[in-house]
Amino acid sequence: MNQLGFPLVTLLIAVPFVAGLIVLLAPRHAYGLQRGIASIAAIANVVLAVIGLVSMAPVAGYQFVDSMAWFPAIGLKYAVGLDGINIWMVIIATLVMPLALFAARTQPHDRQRGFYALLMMLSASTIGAFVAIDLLLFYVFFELTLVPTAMLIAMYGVGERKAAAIKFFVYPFVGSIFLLVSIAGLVILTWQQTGVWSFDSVALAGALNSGAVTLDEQVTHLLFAGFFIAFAIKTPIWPFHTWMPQAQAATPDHGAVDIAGLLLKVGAFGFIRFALPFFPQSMSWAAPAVGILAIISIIYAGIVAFGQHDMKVLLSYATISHLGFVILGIFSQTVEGISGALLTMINSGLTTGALFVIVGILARNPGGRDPNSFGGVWASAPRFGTLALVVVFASIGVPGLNGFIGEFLSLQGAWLSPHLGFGYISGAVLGIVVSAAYLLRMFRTVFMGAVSATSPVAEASKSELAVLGVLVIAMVVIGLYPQLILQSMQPSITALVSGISQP
Amino acid sequence: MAFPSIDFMMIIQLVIVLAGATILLVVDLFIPAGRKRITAVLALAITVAALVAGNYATTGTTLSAMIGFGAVSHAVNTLILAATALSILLASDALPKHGIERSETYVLMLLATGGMLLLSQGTSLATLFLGLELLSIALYVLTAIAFPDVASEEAGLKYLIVGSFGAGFLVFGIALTFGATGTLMLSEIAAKIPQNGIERGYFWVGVSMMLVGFGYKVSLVPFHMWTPDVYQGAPTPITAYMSVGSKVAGFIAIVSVLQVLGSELTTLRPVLMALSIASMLVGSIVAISQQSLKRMLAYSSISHAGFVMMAILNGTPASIEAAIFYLTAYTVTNLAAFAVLMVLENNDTDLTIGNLGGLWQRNPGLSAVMALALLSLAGVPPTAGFFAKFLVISTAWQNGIAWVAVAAAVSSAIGAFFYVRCLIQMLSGHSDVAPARIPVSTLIVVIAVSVAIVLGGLMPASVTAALALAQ
Repeated sequence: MNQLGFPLVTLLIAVPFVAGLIVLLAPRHAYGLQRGIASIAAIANVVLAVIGLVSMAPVAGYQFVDSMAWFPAIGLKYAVGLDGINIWMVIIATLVMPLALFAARTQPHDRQRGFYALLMMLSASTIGAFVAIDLLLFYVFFELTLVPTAMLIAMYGVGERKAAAIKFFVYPFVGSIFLLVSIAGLVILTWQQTGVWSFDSVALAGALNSGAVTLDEQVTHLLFAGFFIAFAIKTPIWPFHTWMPQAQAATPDHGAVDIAGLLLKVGAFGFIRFALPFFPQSMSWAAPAVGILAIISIIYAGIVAFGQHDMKVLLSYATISHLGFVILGIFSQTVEGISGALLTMINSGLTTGALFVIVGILARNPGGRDPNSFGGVWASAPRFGTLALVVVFASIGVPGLNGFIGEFLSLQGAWLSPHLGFGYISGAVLGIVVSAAYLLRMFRTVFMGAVSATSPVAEASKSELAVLGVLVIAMVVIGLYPQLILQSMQPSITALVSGISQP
Repeated sequence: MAFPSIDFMMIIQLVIVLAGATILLVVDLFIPAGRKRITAVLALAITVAALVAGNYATTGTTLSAMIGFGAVSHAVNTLILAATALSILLASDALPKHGIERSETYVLMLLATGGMLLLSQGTSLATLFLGLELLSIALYVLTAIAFPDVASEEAGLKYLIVGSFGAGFLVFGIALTFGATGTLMLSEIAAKIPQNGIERGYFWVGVSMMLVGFGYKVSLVPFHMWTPDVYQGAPTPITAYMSVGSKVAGFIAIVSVLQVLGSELTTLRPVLMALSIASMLVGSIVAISQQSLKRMLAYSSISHAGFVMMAILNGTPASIEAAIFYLTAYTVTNLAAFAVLMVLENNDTDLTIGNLGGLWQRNPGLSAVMALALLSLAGVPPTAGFFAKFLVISTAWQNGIAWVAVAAAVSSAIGAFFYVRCLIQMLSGHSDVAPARIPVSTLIVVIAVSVAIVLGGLMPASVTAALALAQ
């Protein structure tokens, strides 16, 4: 039993999972009960995550580790824990659930039971992926996130949902299989050289970096390639991104699945948690090329977002664009870069989540998801418009709001990095300009100008304004005082970077 | 002439099954036509008795060292008999539904099981051949048992012709091996190889031909062409039984033959790797274009055969255990998938992917089982199929053939597409067909295999313990 005296981290995974099962088994017509169970579980999970945050000691290394033997013959363990790198991802993962449930309140009652159950399962598997210490356990949760999401798209989606669901499942799955081959290879080669069967990521990273396990450079690059393919597709990085806009076009209009799906940033997280500690040399070797892919992601996604007639697809390209900054930060292999990457992931969860809530509110009107069919929403819904403007600014990266810090730190890391450098900054900065362009254009089309005759939008309801207001406050707080988040990350990131720096 | 001594406790499972089959054939004469379910129950009882008896069997060899029994045989026999029991349960519901419940079906299934047990326990080439022939001939008849259904008869005839062709290779290979080594006993052949007491040329041709013969049985590429047609034409419970039983038995026979080679296995490895990769890739690629579910599952079984071969070709005890785990996962998964098909078939015995549409709304429980089976076939955690794939990929790394594992990954990736296509079809789409009723025996099977698939993924140690595999 860990320091806290109760299995906090396991509970973080178990609470939504069990709640999902209970919702599934609830009577078909007990709508209030289903929603109640889901809401209670989501809020309980937030409380648990906050308990974890405040109880954490500011040191590097895993805390609150729950460990249990799984398949002892090959050293497989169920091991989960919290540390500076994943605690805020877990917090965002838990916070996003009440937000998704809020957005899902417009889900038709007779179709909500399975929907809530699947959302809960998705939450459980994403949190599991964030907290897993054991490599294969991570892989199991990583894969498991695909199943409920594909089911959500197939069963509750709109438009081309079947094709979108298949592509959503198969494309990342293909990448993950190569990850499995790399994991098997890493573990077997370590066993052959040290005689110890272990899937523990900390132990493996230690063995690789201390020289207890020496691998041929070719082999290292090939193993890294397996990790890279899986995480690159999942993040997604250009050109492996095509599954995401298609999937997000097919999710239900209210945006709950997209909000929950923001957590599929497990791909980028995987780079920080596993690829970096295991293969720092390969990442250095790949950094220039990946940096270019990241820049292309930032700029290309921005340009494509410009021409979108579907606000949800526009937002999915915006996400891809933001993740380009994350990748730049990670591959810089500096403390600033990685901090910036993590912060950008957290910010992306917040701001893009808020944007999906806004789109969900708009999509209820006859204009649907087409920005051109709206107009002058700021005039007819002033408070809604103001909040939306702040969220748009945060997404662009205006200083004073959260987006700026994340992007700035990532770029600072890229500049300071011996593997990247100044050239990449110029590309990224161009991307910031492009993101300002398409987001402000969307804002102008929808919120400004003459009030649309075909699709007038009334002022948002008090609860919607409240939720958006809370998110905006969070964005302002993080923007003005990012140390709030950064201080818990510092020890772990510093330890990570110093552990992998070449002598 | 002295009769060789027989340790009956060693072959107790064989005796129960084969004697039971013969007695059942006679007893069945006295069972009235409409009550053939009694035959099914008796057949099930015989199978369970054989399963239990395995715990009391002694190890060693008997019958002039032609049949043996050991830990591996015990594990494989358990798997074979469990698969048979589940197939009998499934058949007892599915066959009457299509009006083809003939008592000979259960007797033939028991005889085929006897053949499988012989393949698993055989320590002489003669016994292996006997087992293969017993298994094959019973299966030829079982495939055609749905007469006057033309598809079934055609499938049976195809199986007969191709199977005999394969058996011919096996017999000729055995003859050449005998000519080269002077003995049919596997242990004696194994002893002679390092001593250079054999005719190398004849020996290698003989072994290769034997592998071709067994390759036909387990549908490795390029000996696989019969599989889709036969799986599609045969009655679905027979397809289910065939797909699991003959693979398990065939592969164990291949293991026995390969173990004889000892260190000489390295000469044959490139060929085996080629067979494995070809099977994995061809199976997955061609399955994409299949609309018929039975054909799709046939091609999927071809690709799974490739995975098992990837493990077996290494020859180490760990890889054989991984192969047996894979075969177990494959057995329960296939039985689950075919069980769902059997419930859904009414007049049409060749369901297509479209028939799965809207299953989630009609029969949520059944579609959950099918989803579990499809995910396990694809290798998505936390199912038994995932762990099985992981174990065989690990054996590839352990034995230095990691690039074959990459081919396996490519095959899995391709496979994911058609499995997920079926899954999504089940979840979306609409259907006006009434919800299907699940009969009791099928329900038992469905629950048992679903539990096994989930257990295999969450607690793989329990599966290896159940099979009593030495770890």
